[in-house]
Amino acid sequence: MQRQTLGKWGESQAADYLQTHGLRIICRNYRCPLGEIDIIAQDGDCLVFCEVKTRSSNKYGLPQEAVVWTKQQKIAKVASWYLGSQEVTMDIRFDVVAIIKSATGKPEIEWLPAAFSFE
Amino acid sequence: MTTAPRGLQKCFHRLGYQFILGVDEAGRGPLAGPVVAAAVILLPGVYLAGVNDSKALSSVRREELFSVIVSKACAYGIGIVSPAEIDEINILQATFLAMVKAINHTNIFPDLVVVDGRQRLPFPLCQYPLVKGDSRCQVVAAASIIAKVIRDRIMRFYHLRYPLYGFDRHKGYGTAVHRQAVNLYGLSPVHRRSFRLKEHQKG
Repeated sequence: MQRQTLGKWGESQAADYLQTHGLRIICRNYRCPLGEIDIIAQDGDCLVFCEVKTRSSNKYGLPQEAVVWTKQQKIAKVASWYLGSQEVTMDIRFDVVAIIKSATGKPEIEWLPAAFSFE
Repeated sequence: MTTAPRGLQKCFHRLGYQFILGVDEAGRGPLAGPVVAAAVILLPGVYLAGVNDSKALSSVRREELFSVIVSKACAYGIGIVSPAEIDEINILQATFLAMVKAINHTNIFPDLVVVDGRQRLPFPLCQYPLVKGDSRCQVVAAASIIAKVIRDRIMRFYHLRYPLYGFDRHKGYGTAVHRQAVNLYGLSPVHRRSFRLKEHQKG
């Protein structure tokens, strides 16, 4: 499977997963001049910026490990753009959803709420 | 009781800005009294419950929060521009001047300034203008409370000197009572001469 299709597949798996866990999806693939965020969702009175990382195996490390410092900075930048352009009154949080596509084609999903914090 | 969100501040902290300063002004509209601006710096992790847009709070609540902010803030500063100066340089420039003064009176040099409103200040600093900042960002909300409380105190003091106008009640804003008093007694030295009322607005 190609990288892009794998990523797209992972993102929709993650969206379904978050919805079954009670989050309301506000936006998928939010784009701005600073970059992109995979999923923006609402968990109670908290706004969640969610990065989805999909791998077809853990041969080269876990997917969540690929959300490195520079990627986190990037997400924080996009989040600041979002918060500057929308009138958000909620607190915010940063989540990571790590997905490994197993050989059988079933996703192994790990959700890391507040994976990295802003403070 | 709602609290202004901290999302933006958290993002900025994450992006490496440590001393984030919020600046807001009070007293742009009134017919009398100074324009007061306040600057507040909050460190990462400081959460001030109940701090929100000063216009959404009662004066008693503002006084309570004032002491909370002053004790929890990393640094704060206040800038005041007198009515005479407002008449001289117009109200917009006076607001900018008050804000710049407030930042200069803050003990710590900020990394990033979050300004309430649409415009950047004429000041060589990293700035982030935020429309409706006082209800969208905690540090600006805190500044709006400080500015409002200080201005109210000044107006109560003016009331002792010029008791004819009722400054302690309307704080210089153009209420019917205030406009009638101006009609009856004329302008006091703390009135803004450049703020002239139209005929139909007079009391």
